[in-house]
Formats: sequence, C-alpha cells, structure tokens
Amino acid sequence: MTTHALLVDPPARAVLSDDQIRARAVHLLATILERDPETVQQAHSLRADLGMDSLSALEFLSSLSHEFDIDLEVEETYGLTTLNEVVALVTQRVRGSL
Amino acid sequence: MNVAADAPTDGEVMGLLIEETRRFLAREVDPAAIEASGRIPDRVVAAAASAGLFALTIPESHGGLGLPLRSAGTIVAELARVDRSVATMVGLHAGLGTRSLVVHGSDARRARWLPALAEGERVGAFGATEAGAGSDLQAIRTIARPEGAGLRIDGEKSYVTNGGFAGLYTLLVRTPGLGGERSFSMVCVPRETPGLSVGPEEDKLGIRASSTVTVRLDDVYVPSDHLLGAPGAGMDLAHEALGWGRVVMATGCTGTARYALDATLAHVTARRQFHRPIGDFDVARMQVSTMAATLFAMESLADRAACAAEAGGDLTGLSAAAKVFCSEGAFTICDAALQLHGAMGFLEQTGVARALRDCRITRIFEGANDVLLVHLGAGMLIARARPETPSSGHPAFDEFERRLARLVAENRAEFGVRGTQRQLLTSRLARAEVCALAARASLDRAATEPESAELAAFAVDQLTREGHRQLDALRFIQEDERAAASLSKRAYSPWASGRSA
Repeated sequence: MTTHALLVDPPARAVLSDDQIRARAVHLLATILERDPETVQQAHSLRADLGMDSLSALEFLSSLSHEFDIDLEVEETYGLTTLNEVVALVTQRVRGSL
Repeated sequence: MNVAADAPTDGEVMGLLIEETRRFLAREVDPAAIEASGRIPDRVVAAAASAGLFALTIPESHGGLGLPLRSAGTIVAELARVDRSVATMVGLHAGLGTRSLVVHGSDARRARWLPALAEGERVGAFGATEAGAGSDLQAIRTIARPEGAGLRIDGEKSYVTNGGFAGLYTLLVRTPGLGGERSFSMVCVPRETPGLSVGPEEDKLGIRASSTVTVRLDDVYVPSDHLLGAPGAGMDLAHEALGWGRVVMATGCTGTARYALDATLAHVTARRQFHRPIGDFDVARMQVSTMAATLFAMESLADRAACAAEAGGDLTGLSAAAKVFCSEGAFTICDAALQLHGAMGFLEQTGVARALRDCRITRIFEGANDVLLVHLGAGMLIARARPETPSSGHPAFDEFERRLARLVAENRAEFGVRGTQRQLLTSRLARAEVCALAARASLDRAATEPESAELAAFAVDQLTREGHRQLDALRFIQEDERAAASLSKRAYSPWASGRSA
C-alpha cells in the first residue's frame, strides 16, 4: 500500500470541504481493504464491520497522515473505533494545521 | 483413602514422562532412517501415542495429561534433541492442532474429539496459510457459508503440517455470513468428512519426515457446532493459537540447539590438531561460549513465554520475541556446530547437517520472523506506556534498556503513527527489544540458578552489545530506505516490466 493517487497539495487542503475529506478517507480505506467504496459506511466499526486489526488500522491512519500531510500522534488515535471518529479526527487536524 | 497422598505430583508426572520419552526415542527413533524414508513410520506414531505424547496438553477430564504449556515444551525439546520431524508432529498437535478446540470447542465436540486426540487415534493439524495468503492472513479465500444447520466450506489450505495423516483439521476460514463481510471463523473438520482431500507430501529442505500437504475442501459440509468460539472471532482465535504454538516451537528450537551444542562439545574436546584439542584454541572457546550463552538465553526466554502463556493474558509480543530469538538462535548454533566440526560436519554421519536443515523452517513457519519483527516494532511504537523496568543489577544492561526506551519515545514523538509503517525502524527497534527480553529472562533465571551466573552474565553482555548495534543502526534508516528503494527499483525493473498491470 504505497500508491496514493489522491495526494493533496498543501494549498488545496484549504478548500477541501468536509465531504471531500470524508470521500478521500473512504476511498483510501476501500483501497487498503480492497473493497468497493460504496460498501463502506461512516458508522462502520473498523474492527467488527470492516474486519480491520490493529495493524491494518495503523496502515489506514498512516496513509491518512500522508494523504492530508498531517501529523497524527499516537496518543490521539487511542480509542478510535469507527470510521466516523477517524474522519472527525482527520478533519479537525486538517483544519487545525492550516 | 488419602487421594491427595496417592496422586503423583506434577514433578513426578514430568519425571516419569521424560523417562518414558527418552525410552521412546531410544527404542523407536532413528533420525537418519526416518529422514531417509521421508515420513514418520506408523509404528513410531503408534509408539509416540503409547508413550502419551499426544496427550500432553489435552485436559485430564478428556483423557489427556493436562500438562501446563511449560511442561509440554520440555517434552517437545527432549524430542527435538533427537528428531525434529517427530518433535514437530507432537509440538504442532499440542499447539496449533488442538489448542483452539481445548479452549473454545463446544462441550459435545470436546467430549467427542479430545479423547481420540489424546490417544493419538486422531492427530491434530492446523490450516491458515493458503497459496495467496501467507503472512497476509486477511487474504484468505477459503470460505464457509451458513447453510441449514451447518456450514458449507470451499477452498484450499497449503503447507498443512501433520496434514497427511491428521484426523482433525482446525481451519481459519472466511465466514462472511457470520458477522460481516470481512469476518473470519475457526472451524474443525474431521478427516472423514466428504469433500476433504489431501494432496501429495511436499518435498522439503528439512524436517523431511514431517508431513506437509495441501488440504482441499470441495463442497464440505459440517454442522454448526464444528465452529470454535464465537462466529466471526476466527482471527482473534488464530492469533491466540499462534501465540501458544510459537512458544512450543521456541522450546523445540532449544532442543535442536542443545543437541548441536552437545555434539560440538564432544567433538572439540576429542578432535586434536596442532597437538591439542581444537576446543583449546581461543577462537573455538569463544564460539562454544557464545553457543552456550545463546542457548541459555533461548531457554530462559522460551520458559518465560511458556509461563506467561500459562498465566493468561496477551502473549502476542512475548511469544513472537521468543519464536524469533529461539529460531534464529538455533540456526546460528547449528551453523557454528557445523563449522566447528569442519568438513566432517558437512557429512551426514555427524547429524549436525540434519539439525541445521531441520531448524531452518522455524524462522519461517507460524509467522515469518521478518514480519513478526515489523509487527513487534509497530506495537512498541503505539504501546500506551513502556513499563519502567527495575534495575537488573547489571549496569551496562540497564543503560541499554534506558537507551531503548528513550529511542522508542523519541521516534514515536517524531514520526507519530507514520512511524509504524517504516519497517526498517520497527524491525530494528524490535530486534533491540528481543535482545532486551532475552537478557532480562536470562538474568532472572540466573537469580534462581546461582551456578549459571557466569553463563548468564556472558549472555547478557553479548545481548547488550547486539542490542546497541541495532539501536546504532537507527541512525542510518533514512539513507538505508533511500538506497534500498533506489537499488531495488533498478534491480526489479527487468523482472517486473513484463508483469505490470
């Protein structure tokens, strides 16, 4: 999992809407899990619904860091269980780092 | 009648069992002949069963010996000193082959299968790996679909140890109908189930008499109670079983290494060159001392992992560390043994060559070491808090542990979650951690074994030096990553050009 076709240029982050961030996150997750993005729901639990273990979850979070050029600290990822929570964290960090 | 007074203690049971195991090995097991025949003869399997070797970890309530993992490991190590194929058969049965059924099977299935497994009437096998799913278990394609009161299974499992003659297969399969599209479950399939078929024995570098086959499942139907644990919990069960199995494998490696060291000691004290035993030369002394110290550390770490397994709790990191350390240690010791035997070691008659090829697979199966190290290191970077370790009384080691803790914290702060994906970082940290765990286990063992103090101190010195080497190498990660990316790209291009999608 090294190809991120959607890599965001820093200036472009300013204009990303919440929906766009969400869509990119879902696309990234679907690529990692090799599944159709249409079947991924925001309320999905990473573990129970998406079958992710701690390692694939780390891969996802790390890819998000690259994708949006944000630094996700280890501590702030504790307790994330659903895709919604991950997207909320990423959105907050994208806005915060502008 | 005082039952308690009549019942043998665990120590007495073990004493008898070790004697019985040695008798079995002396009477029945000729490793060269067994290897040459390419399979473990039926009479050896039957004699192993009579000796109780299939009953080790099966609960007493179901006809087994109910031994703790640590004791089972002792027996597997004893077997591995003589024949690694036989040790693998017994170890796999006691570990991956039966563990999940013992812990998670329904009462009815446990009552049905466990006594036969304890008797060796059915031998246990385990299947997770597939042609397209090695270290990446998420890629498993074998699928079990709910149908009526059971499951219909289709797929194929590769490299199934004991598979050629097993009576019960515990399989990790996808069960999208049970708890989500990405759900996995563990299921038992008895040998006689229609649709289960077994391929030819694989021809292998080592443990040549151990059975390794592909198991096919075509339209296999089993009742729902063949599922182990909660539907959809298969990946957790598999990791739990692998944690248990890796401890058994680590102890097996100590047996092979013990054999190689003993053979070397006999050789270097008898073989004379330049008018003295070759064991009297400094270079040989250093090699033999390093072998002995490595073995001491291997036994200490494997024992620590076995005790932790008995105590319950998450075994993932410790069992992976023990498996990596013991499989690499055994290979290094066998290689040094062969070298010290000179050209004689390259000949089959010494048995050292067989030990070397037999232990090679342990660095690969039940989790390739490279992958285990990457995962172990990622785990270190995201662990909530690194527990403060008490002073060991060995200042150089304490200093190394502090350096390791500091570097974990620094890399975590610098790279955040992204650090977990940098494999050169995670694997180097993990190698340092494995050194720390092995050293700590050696020191703790020496505290209860005063006669081992000198050996333990030497082991800790060596492990501390190696740990520092791994931490020193953290400085070069960026340039190593860059160089490896560029060089591999060049090297791959003529091979990959015709294959790109």
